[in-house]
Amino acid sequence: MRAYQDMVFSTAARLAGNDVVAEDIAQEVFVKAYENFGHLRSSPTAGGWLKTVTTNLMLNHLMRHRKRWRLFSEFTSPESDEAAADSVDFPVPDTLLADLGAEQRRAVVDAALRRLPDHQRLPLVLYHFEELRYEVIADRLRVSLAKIKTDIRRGRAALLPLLATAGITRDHLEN
Amino acid sequence: MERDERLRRVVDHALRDLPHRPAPATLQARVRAELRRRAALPWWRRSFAYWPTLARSAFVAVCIALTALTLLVGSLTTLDLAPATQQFLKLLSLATAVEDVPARLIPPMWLDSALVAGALLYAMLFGLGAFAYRTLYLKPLDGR
Repeated sequence: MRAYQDMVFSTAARLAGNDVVAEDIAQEVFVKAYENFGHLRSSPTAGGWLKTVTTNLMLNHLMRHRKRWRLFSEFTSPESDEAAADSVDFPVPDTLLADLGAEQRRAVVDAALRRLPDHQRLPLVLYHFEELRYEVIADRLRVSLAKIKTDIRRGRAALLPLLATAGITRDHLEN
Repeated sequence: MERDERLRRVVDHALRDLPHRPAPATLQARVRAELRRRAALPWWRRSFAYWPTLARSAFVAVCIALTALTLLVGSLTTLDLAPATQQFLKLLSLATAVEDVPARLIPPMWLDSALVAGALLYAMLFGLGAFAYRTLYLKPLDGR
């Protein structure tokens, strides 16, 4: 458990944006791992199994509470979202957080992700951290492909100012 | 489009290969406590997969017996249906005969007039309701 607990907790926390929920899910993951201990003990893919179970449990949990953010996400048209995304006109730098150490970068990114709304953070994390394709994310979240692309795009655009307020100045981003 | 692709690349570079967040120190203790709690549960409160073999076999046998009983009761009811259907048809014919009585006693023109009057009253009530809604409800809202 010690070898994987940070990975499981990180995966859950980035998807949930909430440490309390992430700890609950991580606990459930390790209880399931204990129940499958005979199979996992000798498996070379135990890490992948744990990550998949974490993602699935977290998505199930979030989908149960989906109605809260669905109101603000899917009831708007993709066209209006596109317009809103274009209105965020931060200059895109060549690199982000390049001069920070790994731990500092992690702290800044995790803090910024926590401030994103669920309907942007969730697909963004699935795309950039879990490396899922747009189509797979749309299928898992039961949202249209266009909506997923727009939410991810908006999420990226929203991350720029969040990273800036988390210690990276706007001037630095423009250089 | 070029801006989007650049944004995707930069964000991807910033987010990939981040170190893991350290799990809370309480996580291991919580998992152990949950495992102890589950282990302390009696077998009938656990998942079916954890029931003793004897209990599982008995449960499956009871389910099969109940299914067979349901099918048996269903087939017996079907056999008894014919007299019940005849009773129902008798009642239906009696009801139809009773329904024909007003048609014989009241002239058809009266019935038609009553229907037309009912429709007119309904239309008037609907119009009155719409008028009241527009006058009493929408006007004050418009005035805000």
